[in-house]
Amino acid sequence: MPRCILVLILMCSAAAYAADSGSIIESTSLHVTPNGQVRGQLSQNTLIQVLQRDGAWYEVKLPDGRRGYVPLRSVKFGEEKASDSVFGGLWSWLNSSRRSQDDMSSSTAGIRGFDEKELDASEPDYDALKELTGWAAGADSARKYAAALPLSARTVKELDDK
Amino acid sequence: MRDYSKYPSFQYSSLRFFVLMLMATSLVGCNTIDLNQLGSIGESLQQAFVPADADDEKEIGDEAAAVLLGAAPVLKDAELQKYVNRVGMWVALQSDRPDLPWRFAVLDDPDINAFAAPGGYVFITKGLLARLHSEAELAGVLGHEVGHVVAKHHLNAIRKQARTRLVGMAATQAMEQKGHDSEQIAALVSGAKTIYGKGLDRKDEYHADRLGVVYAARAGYDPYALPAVLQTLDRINPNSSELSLLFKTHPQPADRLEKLDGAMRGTLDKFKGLTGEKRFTAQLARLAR
Repeated sequence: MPRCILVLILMCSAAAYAADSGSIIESTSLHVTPNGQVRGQLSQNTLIQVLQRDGAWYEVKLPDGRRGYVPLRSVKFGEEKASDSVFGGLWSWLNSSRRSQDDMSSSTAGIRGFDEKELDASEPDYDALKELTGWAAGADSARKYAAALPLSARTVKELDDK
Repeated sequence: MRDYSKYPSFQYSSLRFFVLMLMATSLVGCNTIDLNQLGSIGESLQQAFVPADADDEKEIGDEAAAVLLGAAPVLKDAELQKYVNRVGMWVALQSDRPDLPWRFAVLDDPDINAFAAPGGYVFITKGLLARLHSEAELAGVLGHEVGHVVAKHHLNAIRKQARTRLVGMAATQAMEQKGHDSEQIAALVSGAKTIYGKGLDRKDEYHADRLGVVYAARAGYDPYALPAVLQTLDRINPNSSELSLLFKTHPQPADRLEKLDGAMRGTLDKFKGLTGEKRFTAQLARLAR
């Protein structure tokens, strides 16, 4: 599949994560814009469709067709299986790990990946440790890559434990 | 890195025991232990002690990371690894310890998790990576782990254990007094892992969440990307095996989200930021070929 088409499919998939069903977990106001004018009140368990996220806010659509913004914290998405949450067409890639299905089925409690059992059996892999150095980014390289997005550093104070 | 081939087997075994204890705490937690409740294992461990040297963070981190990599290999994809390192390094540069030799890596593991080891090691599983939606979410996750390293959560936990005489002398006793080999050490390690298998202290996880969003925000990313990741995790069936270790070792995503949102409200909700969705998507698209 041409790469541009694949990227498009994955981007649609990425955007689609937000176009999803959920509900209001605590009564909240429906705003015209993020933190803007209040359009109405939503009670707990109101069903919503989440259209997109804008920082600490979700744009939502109500069953009656109204749209508006609610705080991120007031939204609870519908439950899904682990496989449903995988980005785009990466499910097969995800399951192409070194572990075979047989290995998975032999692990306790259905754990598929890294667990205490494997830790216990682990032999330190110093070769893999050395390999990490070859992938490491220097500060200048990281700054240059950030600037290309373009990201720029800013001052933000640490948060208090409230 | 220390060359263990020139060390007597006892020293290697003791150090491996120590490192495995470190890994147990790194991965599954560092709860305070009441030694009186541990029975014979506790008695053995209570006699055990090889204190962590004050300046050995990097050395302990090397060993801890090597043990981790022995359990979960790195993903053989240099382009993706370099991408994660560039993003991670940019986030780490915003921390209070920008000069650490930061190393980031994607583990070839389908579970949903991320890990930190002392000295600047940060690992994310491909299982978690495949569930993220943007570079900002990746930055938030890496920022959380960077926070653990910067705050020395794991390192301090190990030293706390050392103060309670938990580490090396159990190996000494096993090797010297009882003449047993590494199998006995492994049995002690296994018992200790069972005891430790409850995760880092919750306050350390909440602290790392707060540091993670601050580093991501300083880096110019959308600070609410990490809360969005927590919402992603919160919607996955909690009985999914991919989440078993994460949920065993961390507070529930909903609890983390509530605490984090409370800390961010009135401060970080005033910051906008980039999501980097397009650049992140291009990286993942390459993997789906």
